[in-house]
Amino acid sequence: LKQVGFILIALLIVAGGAALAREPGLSWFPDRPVAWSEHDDENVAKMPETNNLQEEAATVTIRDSVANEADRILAAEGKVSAQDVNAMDEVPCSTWFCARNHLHPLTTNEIARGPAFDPPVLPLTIVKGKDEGAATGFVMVDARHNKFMVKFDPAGHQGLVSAAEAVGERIFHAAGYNIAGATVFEFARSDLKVSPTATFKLFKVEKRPVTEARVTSQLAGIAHLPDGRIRAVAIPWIKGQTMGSFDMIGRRPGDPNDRIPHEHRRSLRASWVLFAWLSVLDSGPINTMDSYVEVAGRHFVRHYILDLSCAFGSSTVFPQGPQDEGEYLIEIGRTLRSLFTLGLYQRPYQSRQNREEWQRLTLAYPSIGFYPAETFDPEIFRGDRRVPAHMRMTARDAYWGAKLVTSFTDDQLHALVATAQLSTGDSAYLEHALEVRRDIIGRRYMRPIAAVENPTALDDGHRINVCFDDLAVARGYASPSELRYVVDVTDGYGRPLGSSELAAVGPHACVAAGGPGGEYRIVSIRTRLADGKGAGTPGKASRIHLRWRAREGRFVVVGLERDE
Amino acid sequence: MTPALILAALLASETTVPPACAVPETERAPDPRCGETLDGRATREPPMTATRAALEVPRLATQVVMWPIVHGTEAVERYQLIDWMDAILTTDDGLVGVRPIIHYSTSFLPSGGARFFYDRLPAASEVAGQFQTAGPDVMLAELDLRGPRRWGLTLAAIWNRRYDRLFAGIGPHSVDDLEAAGQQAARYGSDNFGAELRWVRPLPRWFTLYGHADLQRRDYTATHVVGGPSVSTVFAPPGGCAAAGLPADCVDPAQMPGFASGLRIAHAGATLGLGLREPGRERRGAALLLGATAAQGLAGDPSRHATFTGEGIVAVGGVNRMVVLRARAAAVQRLGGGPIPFDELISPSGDTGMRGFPDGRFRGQSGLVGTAEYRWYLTWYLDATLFTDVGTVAGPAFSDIDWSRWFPSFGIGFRLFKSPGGAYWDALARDEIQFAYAPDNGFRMLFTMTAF
Repeated sequence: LKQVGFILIALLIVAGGAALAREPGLSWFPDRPVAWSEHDDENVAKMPETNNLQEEAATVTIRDSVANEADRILAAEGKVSAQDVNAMDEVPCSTWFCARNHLHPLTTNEIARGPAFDPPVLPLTIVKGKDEGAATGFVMVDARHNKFMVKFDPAGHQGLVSAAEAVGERIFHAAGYNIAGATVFEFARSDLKVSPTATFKLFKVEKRPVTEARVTSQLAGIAHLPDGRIRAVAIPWIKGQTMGSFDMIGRRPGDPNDRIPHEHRRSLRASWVLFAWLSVLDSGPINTMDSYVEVAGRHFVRHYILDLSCAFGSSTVFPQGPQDEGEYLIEIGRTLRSLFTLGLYQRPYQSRQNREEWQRLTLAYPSIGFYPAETFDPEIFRGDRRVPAHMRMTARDAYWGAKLVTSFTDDQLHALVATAQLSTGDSAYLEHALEVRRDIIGRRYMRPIAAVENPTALDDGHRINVCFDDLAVARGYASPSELRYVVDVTDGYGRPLGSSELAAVGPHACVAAGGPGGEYRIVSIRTRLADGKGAGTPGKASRIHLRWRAREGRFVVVGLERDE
Repeated sequence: MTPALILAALLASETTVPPACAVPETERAPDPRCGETLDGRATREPPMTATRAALEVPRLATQVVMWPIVHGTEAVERYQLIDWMDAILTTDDGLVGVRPIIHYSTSFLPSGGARFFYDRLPAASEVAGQFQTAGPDVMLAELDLRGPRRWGLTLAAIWNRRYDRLFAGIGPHSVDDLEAAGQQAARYGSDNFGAELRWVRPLPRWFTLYGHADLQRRDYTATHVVGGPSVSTVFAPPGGCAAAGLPADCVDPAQMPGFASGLRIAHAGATLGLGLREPGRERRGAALLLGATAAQGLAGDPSRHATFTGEGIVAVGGVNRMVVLRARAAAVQRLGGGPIPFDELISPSGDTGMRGFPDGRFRGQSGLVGTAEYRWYLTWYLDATLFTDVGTVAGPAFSDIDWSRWFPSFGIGFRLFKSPGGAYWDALARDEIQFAYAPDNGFRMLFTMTAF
């Protein structure tokens, strides 16, 4: 033990000295295989603690929008890097997220299929009322005894909820998140039975039987098809034992697999970009679910995102108002600014143009509601409440989120929108709005930071070149003619080895990383985009880390990181 | 291997080390099970800077302040107190229920109670009402039977008891005037009982006709009052009650006509409204109301008079910022031989007029109030209002009006809105709190809130 102690102290001194000598603020990547799994699906013998966060909307609003926000600001924690990120600046597969479309593009069939589940088979039997959430619905089992949450569209807005669920869930699934799935289907009132044991909670507290009369009364307030049939969206029951929501801050007590504070998960931080793309109003812990599942004899917690019925222009029971995607429920700063300027300060959504657009869109597309396209500005998008993970999203996280969003091609979006079974006009607009908003996100978050991907080192023994793909150029969000790379090479201890600036020529670029020698090298790449007045200011850097691999006698890429 | 990894390995050896961690690092990817970060680098805590250290105290203070708020809200939600209240106070069909209500207006006792509704009647008829109290000194009960919407008829029964009502003489008397006369604002009590029929009839274009008729009985007292000296002390007859041939604790009939005998009276009247204001939250546009009401004493009450009212409103702007100008004039004209009871005089002060002054502070045979308001948007469920009211009272038909005696008040108010769904400009005003200041009266707070 004494020996171990000496070794430990010696190593601490060496490591400390090395750390002090290294380039300030930049730590070295080890020369190791890249982590593509978080290994957070180890067996957990005892189900961790459950919670009721989904039923505590006001608490979560006050806690996250006031208490946690004040704490975050006063903690002056600055921009903290996400922790579920590997050496290639990607999010490894976990029980939270497993990259799909942006790393392994799905076919249009795969993307339209979404997660695997059997669609409901008629007839349906109501087994329980829907006690949470605003949308009208019931818990039902189909002819095969599969259980679903079935939600309906509000009267006058056929498709408002069902399209949002069907498309929204598929998009989140294709991006890599765990979702239950959703399918649009139609049925007649005669296909619907009520189980004699079915109950609902009146006023959310008093258990009452679900009667035929109640069902008829509830169905009277929903949208019907011209032939009297009912269009609905069926969401399969999540497998396993549900344990309440996952929070957007901290970790779940009792779950040893839950090692990373949720606010420091990029997959949660950058989910904001998807929520903004789809204009999902309620993206906090209220609409998440943890389930204690069993896979191959192991029990662990899997984390789901739920309820996208307030996506696009839907506010679930009516179209979103202009304020819905532009304001948190609690806005202390803005409210005080309005108060003390006597209303001279105005939110963007208060403009006359926004009002006219709201009136035009809600009238023209009642199935979609207020889902602006060209005027969408992700910088001013705000859901119902501040979400701790979203509030900590850095430019680097947002860039990753934009990678997810912009990975959806026009063909894929066409296939996704088709699953909503909307009218031709509504489908065309939804597709258009998704494409336009995707591209706005791409331009907003992929231009300010060097969109360096797939870096490789070419070391011929005399000269080292680093080559990479420029995703902003590849996806059309930056043009080579307006883009120049500002390259700075250092040796890992902060000593400059060279600088250069070169014009982009296409979606693939190579830059010089100096001559041979040394053990470490950091190639910092920033993009300078012409801003109309000439060359603009260089943006945030992406840094490719190279390390000398002695056994192969060459530098290899060991890491990719970016400014936060 | 970094120190953190060595420590992790040592700690892990005490428990269970996943077999994967035994593989040399260079041959496997970083693994959180082995105490490693996913990018293989050491975790770095943000340094403790001077700024961070300085902010620790306010941070702790904020945590202490927010803890009970967050956990109190959590307890309310966890035990579903609001849901239970809703369930307890509402029938299963949601058509019958009770809701709490509180009201406060400085100078008067705060009251609380409930409003209720019974919507099981056919043709969208409704029975609704409210009961508010502050103990035996304040009782406000109203029961409304609303007929089918197309009829536009409401029958109301009202009991309104307050022992803190205010009287400060007749005429535009400032505090200094009252003090110079050895007087001050005084209190009286009354039990008012009434039955009223209201009728609303939309007319072509933008016109609406409002009709009303009522029977009222009001009994006054000067012996049991709260909130200040009794009117029997301040407005006693010169020389005392005995000299005037009145019982003890009397009030000078010349100063408060009708007090001793109470009021037995019937009213009937009509108002023509021209409404050019927009619906919802904006209320932009103009409105004009012109009304006349005749009053006839019953059961020996000699009262006989007519009241004429006029009100004009102009609202310019929109939901974001709006200026509202309002002018209101009213006059009561004697038609018979008896005096106009003090309680039937025009009183322009109070929550809907000169807000810096309590109800009853000014009385006269005519009265004028001008209001200018600036309203602006704070958030979709809240707006603010800066207002100034100025008003006065005068003799019959605005005679003797003293143009140098206008009584201003200023204030700020906040209105809460509830959204019917959709756009913020369609939100409906619900509760309001106002703070008013009048140089001749001081500060007042006006507040009404209904729960869920």
